[in-house]
Amino acid sequence: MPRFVRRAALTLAICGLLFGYSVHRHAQIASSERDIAHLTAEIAEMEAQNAKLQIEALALSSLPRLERVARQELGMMNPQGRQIILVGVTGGN
Amino acid sequence: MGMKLRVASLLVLFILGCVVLVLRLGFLQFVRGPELERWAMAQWTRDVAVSPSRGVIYDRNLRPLAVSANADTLVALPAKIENPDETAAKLAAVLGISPEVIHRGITRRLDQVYIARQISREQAAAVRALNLPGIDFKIETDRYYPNANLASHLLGFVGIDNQGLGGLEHKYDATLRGTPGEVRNPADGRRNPLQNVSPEYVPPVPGQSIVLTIDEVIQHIVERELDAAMTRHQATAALAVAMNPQTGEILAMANRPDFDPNAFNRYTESLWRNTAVSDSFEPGSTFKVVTAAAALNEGVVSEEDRLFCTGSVSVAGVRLGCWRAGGHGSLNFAEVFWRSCNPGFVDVGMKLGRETLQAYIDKFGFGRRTGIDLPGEAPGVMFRRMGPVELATTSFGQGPAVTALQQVVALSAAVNGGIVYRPRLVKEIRDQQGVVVQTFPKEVVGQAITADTSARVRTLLEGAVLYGSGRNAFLEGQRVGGKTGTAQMVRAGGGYYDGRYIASFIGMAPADDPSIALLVIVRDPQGPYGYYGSQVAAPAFRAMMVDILRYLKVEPHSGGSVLTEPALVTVPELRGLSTTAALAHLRDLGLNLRMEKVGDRVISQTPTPGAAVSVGTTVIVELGTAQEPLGRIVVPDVRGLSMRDASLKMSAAGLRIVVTGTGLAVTQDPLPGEEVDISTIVRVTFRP
Repeated sequence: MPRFVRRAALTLAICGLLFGYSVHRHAQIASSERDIAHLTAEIAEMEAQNAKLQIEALALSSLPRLERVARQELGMMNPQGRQIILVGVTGGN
Repeated sequence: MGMKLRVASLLVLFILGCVVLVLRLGFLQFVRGPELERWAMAQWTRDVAVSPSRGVIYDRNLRPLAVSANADTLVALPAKIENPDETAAKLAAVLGISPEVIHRGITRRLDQVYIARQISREQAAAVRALNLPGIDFKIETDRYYPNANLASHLLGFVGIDNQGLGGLEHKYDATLRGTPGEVRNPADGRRNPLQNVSPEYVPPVPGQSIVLTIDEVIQHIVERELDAAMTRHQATAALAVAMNPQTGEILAMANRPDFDPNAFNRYTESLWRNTAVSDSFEPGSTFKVVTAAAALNEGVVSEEDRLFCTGSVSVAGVRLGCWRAGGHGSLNFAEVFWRSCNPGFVDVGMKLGRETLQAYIDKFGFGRRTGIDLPGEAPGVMFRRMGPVELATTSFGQGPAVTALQQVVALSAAVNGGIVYRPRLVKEIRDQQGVVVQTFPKEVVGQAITADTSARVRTLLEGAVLYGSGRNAFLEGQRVGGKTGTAQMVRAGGGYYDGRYIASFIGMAPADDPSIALLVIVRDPQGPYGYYGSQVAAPAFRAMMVDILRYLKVEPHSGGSVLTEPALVTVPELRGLSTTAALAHLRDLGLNLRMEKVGDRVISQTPTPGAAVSVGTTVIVELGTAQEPLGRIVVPDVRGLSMRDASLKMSAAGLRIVVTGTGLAVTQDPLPGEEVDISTIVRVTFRP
């Protein structure tokens, strides 16, 4: 094999490898960029959902609703002016 | 030889590899090209928000009452739509809009067309999943009121373009809405868009937030009790206004019926009206506070001056009656105020004179807008010319038309030392970071009466609750003052309705240093509890005040005033009376009425006449028509009983007893077992 051919082939091979490596890196960058875009979109999505949940929390803690739940579901009532609460008495005289 | 083969085969492999790569490249470019291009575009571009976020409306404790959230708006770019029919069909399935409408939209010759605005997140996600070309998203802000109906008339609502359409959303629209952003596509001199130059993005300036003087808790308490009063008294409408008399800050303002601003267009327009500021009506006896304040300030009358009520007074030939049929007799002015005697006030009004009363009415702010920061405020209607009759009726609150807000401002001035403040709803303006950029201090409009007179008015108001018609507003352990009002409803076209009234109660607490002034108005109560302000509005006022004072941490104290009037009252004979007479009779004694069945006469009652009950007890009566016989009674046997027991037994049976002697009963006439009419007199002799 003529010497220059061998050298040319070697150079080509190295160039090819470098080229391949460069393409590989570009692909990696593109892939990372896509990941970033996805994550950014995810963050935006979560932020939007967070905002929506905050509004839902506001609606759930509205005073009319709280009073309704307290009265109807938890059986609470207004304290009276005079109220008698029985306290357990231990021991005796 | 072997080397050549190896090199040749390497070369072949190398070429094969290149061919494969080229084929793969071709495949990616041409077959999957468009799809990958779309992916790339989605990756490089973002939905940019162009509409600014609208400011939040907070209550005075920074609890949000109106908020904005991002919502997706669906936009079509007709130039990029590939298959309009298929696109329209797919969108229609997700959005629930007819495909024809969508098709029309996406085939229009415009750059951008709205398909659906502010859609739900689920719908937006579904459309995104379809991945349709030419369909894009835009971020718009959606307004949400997390407390639904609470303070709906105050807050107002916004339209689809986030423009304020009523209430505070409208009045403060410029502050709340911010400045929209821009996406500028650079163009050359001939307005051709420059290629390969990214569009310039100017971000939106967010709107500023407003902090109201309203307290969400007080607003809730007020609205809850208004609902209860509406149901209990079967009223057409009701409203309440609460104000801090020392500053002019509105703590609560509520109207019934109301609406949900989240869905305002599902309600008729008339429900959006803020009656408390937009409607004026004849106030009735609550206006007497103004007349009394004016009279005391001018010195034309003092609390001990004696006046006489015969049941009516004649002014320029017109007979003006008192609500108490037989008149009140001789009273001092304080009692005239407490018992709300009309002829007494006519007298005072005459003493004041037309010009002076007019001047005070003006100083208290009636007849013109208060200047509150709400749209649609009514100025009210005053007499243009006041003759003697107009002067007389104005003195007791029939004639001039005033708004609820004006009344509260006037009462606040009457009890806070005489200062008329401008009422306001907004405390501060804050930017998006929460930094305060503007505050609104209290604003003095004028001085109506002196501080001394104001102290005397406070005493009068407290007396009305302790000794007068305001009994049902009494709160144990607290010092409350106020005035009842029962005004006839004006009929369109002139005159008044028969049997239709506006019941009101205006008051303040604590009476020595008021921190809250509250007006409650109930319109056209038709329920079984009557229509007087003392029976309809005062109890609602009391229910609100109990919780409000507790919330404001105004501690009850044992040193508070007690009802010094005799705590026990004898139930009178009501059977045979008309409902109006029965109502008036009971009101006079400080008792309440509940009517059952239908009719114009009282047929039976519980408790029976003669029973001793505490003030504020409800007497239940059965109504019927006048023709029904009232029934005969069997005379009970009281022989051997003490005087007290004998009296009680007779009263319980519906008979009247006349006593002779002392000790135990020995004889009675008629005898036990005889049948007599109601209210027959039974003579009983007693011997020790």
